[in-house]
Amino acid sequence: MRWSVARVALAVVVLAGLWVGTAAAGVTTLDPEVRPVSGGKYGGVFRYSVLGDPKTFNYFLAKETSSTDILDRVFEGLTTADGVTTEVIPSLAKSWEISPDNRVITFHLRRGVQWHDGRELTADDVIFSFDLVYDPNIPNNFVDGLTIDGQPLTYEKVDDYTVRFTLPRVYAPILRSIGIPIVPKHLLYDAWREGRFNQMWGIDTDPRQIVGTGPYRIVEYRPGERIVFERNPNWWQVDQDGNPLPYIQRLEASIAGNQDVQVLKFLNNEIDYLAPNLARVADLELQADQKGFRLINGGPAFGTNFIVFNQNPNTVPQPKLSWFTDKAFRQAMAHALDKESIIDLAYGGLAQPQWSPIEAANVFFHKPDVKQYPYDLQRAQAILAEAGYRKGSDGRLRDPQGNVVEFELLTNAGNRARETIGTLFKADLERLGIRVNFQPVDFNLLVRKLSETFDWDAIIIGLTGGVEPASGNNVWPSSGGLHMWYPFQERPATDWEARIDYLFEEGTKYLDPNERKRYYDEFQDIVAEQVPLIYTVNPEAWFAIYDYVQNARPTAYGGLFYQIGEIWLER
Amino acid sequence: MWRFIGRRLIQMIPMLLGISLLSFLIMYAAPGSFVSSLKLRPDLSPETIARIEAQFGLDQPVLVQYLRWLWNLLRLDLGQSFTYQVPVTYLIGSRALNTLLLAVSSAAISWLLAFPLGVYAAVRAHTGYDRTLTFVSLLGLSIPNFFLAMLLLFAVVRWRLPLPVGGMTSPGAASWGFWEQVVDVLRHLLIPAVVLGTAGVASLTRYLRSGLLDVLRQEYITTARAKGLPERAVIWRHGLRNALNVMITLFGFELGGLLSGAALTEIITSWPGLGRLILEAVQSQDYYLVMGSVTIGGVMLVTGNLVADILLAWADPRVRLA
Repeated sequence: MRWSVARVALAVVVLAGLWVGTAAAGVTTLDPEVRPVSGGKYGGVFRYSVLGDPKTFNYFLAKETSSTDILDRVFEGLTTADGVTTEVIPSLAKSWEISPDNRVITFHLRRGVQWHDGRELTADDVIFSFDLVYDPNIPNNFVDGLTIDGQPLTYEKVDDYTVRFTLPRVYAPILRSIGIPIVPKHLLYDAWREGRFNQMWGIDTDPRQIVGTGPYRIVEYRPGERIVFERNPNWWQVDQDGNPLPYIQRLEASIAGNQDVQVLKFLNNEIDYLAPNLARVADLELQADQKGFRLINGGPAFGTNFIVFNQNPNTVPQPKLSWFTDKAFRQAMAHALDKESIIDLAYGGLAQPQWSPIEAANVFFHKPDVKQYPYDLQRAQAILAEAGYRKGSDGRLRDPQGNVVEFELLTNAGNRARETIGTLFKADLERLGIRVNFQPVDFNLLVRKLSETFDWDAIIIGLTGGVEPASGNNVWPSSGGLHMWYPFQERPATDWEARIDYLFEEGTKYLDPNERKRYYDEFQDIVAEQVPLIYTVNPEAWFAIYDYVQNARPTAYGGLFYQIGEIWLER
Repeated sequence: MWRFIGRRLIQMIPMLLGISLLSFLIMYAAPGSFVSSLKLRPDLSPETIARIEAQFGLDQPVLVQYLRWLWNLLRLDLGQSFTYQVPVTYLIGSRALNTLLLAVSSAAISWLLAFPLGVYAAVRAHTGYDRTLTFVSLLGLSIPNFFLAMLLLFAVVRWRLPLPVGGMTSPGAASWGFWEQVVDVLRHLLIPAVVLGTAGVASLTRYLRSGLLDVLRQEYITTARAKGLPERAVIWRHGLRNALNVMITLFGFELGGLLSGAALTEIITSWPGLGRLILEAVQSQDYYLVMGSVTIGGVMLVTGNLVADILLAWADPRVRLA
């Protein structure tokens, strides 16, 4: 009897072992994504260069692109954005359904997606990752995009491959902001429970322990030197012949301290790909044929540079306040900005003028036919004259009350483009009789003026851009903290600001992009008419790539890496 | 001698406290803080930024933050970096050896070159040879390190020299044999070490020349010569031995600068050293990382001086008596 118990026990152990064995080896991707590529060559090392060290391997703590640019190879979300069209496309979720009232979204995960350590990704990992977002002890960048009118989303696991999210109200930007990186519950849950999550996966961790689902995993990190990635053989994307992607075996990102060294490394063929400073493009073009590389224009980049006048009645004294709040004054200033010279002097001709608050790079939401203010000093003078501003016999401009018009213009020191803009603008305004005290100052001082003391006249600054207009939620609504010309308004100071508040609210209430576009079109017209921000120009994104890199199609929006799996090397 | 050393060690404590407090206050006097750049992100709410400030203790008064830092220091804890969110000791440790390697090899280059050049210049003072050397070393002093580094890197690319442009190891080197790895590091070391080494030669030569010249004007040298001692013995036995004090003091300073040295050169040549790390920390106002390096730099400086003083006391009995 005892003997047979032992035998049963043994059999159970053996069977369990077999079962575990097959389970581990048996995770296969059942829902692969077929990419429009075929005939790629496997193997090889793709070398590129980044400017700074990653600051953390814990995506929920990452605050700089130096970290996220690395981690984006390793981690994936439910949704992602197409590098060319900027549309939301499936990633870890193969599909989703939206309820008729637009408030419930049900995501279906790809079955058989593997973590780099071989475990299968399930709905539990998704739930866990959203728990992390809403944990107040984890200061992460995702929570603001996933909070609607102060309310979190609610979410539940339906089955192992289905997750359902319920929104407090219809909120269109959600499909984009919901694409947060999914991290493995089986490796991080215990640490989170014990309050150690913020200590997990720092750069002192052996990078092989950093487990994601993405096309590559990190195998080596040498501080200040390089990060090496190895291909994930079990990724869920395949080419048209059913061969697994990515093609390239290893990626090597060498960490260079500055852009000049990156160019030298590229010319020395120590790296295969470069996103050069625009000032370098012409020079690189001369050497391209001889050295066997090509230059690609990825189109105008996201992000903005603009001049803003302070309209804050609490901190701007008269008579300056009356000038800056005068629409005619701002329109005249817009006519005095010489964008063509900025393009030539600051960007070597490789930029385009910007007129609308939504950049041309944002193909879908951009409205090309808004009001424009071509460079014309006579026109500027005429507008000012009509508003009662007169040039005195001393050549200086006076407002209708007889005050001499003079103000301070700041920007952050060290940003060459902004310094050029300031110098040009100052010279042109002086021809109008306006004395401008232009001063580049420390970046942090500028931020303090914008966000704490609010004591400034005019500033040249920029903001990062993105596809989703609603991500400007701190900037455009009158209560926003980055509503720079008059932040934190209790109620909108002007009718047009009130109208923008309304449009930004309404613009998020429909899931159909065409429906939304109406609201953002009107918003763009208002801003172009009122010019609270005088936009400057959008530089283009250029790329230099050696000819042996096949099928590379970099864009300003996605860079090269949105399609890293589809690139191969012929050398 | 032991009392001398003991007294110096005790004197170090208020000095280090002073250094650290001053650095802390200067850092806080600079506008903004680590979270300043986050405040210009259109997608981050003020609440999230406030939460980050609280997490790093940035919402506390300056003095509280300093005392908290000091208390941790007493327990040999340099705190956490804001940027990296790992212990400062780990970050400094991961770079210190690289910087030390660079500093020691550039120091070796500069001392090995400067010693004979300086002696020769002093002996042949005011000759054509001396003037040429003065000219060359002034030229060396006036070329900024980063510029020389840039020139050398450009030369590598222009003439396709078989040298790497920056970094410290080649990709895949980890799997090579030991000697291959040593050669690999030496190849990477060449440009930054030459840049820093030649910068050192110029000033060291000048110091050594003037130190030796001073000694050679002393009466006992005249006496020695008058006695009919051969010139070689006058210079090497009597002259140089007494000019040693200058060299020892310089050596002490150099010891203090070993870890703090060469940020710009490190950045241009992508050498993964401390200088680059600290410069970035200062730029991003990563307080504890900066304080950690200031503390270690301070300790090195004070120890360097102490070592120099001990050597001086050993070489020159007059110092001990003072």
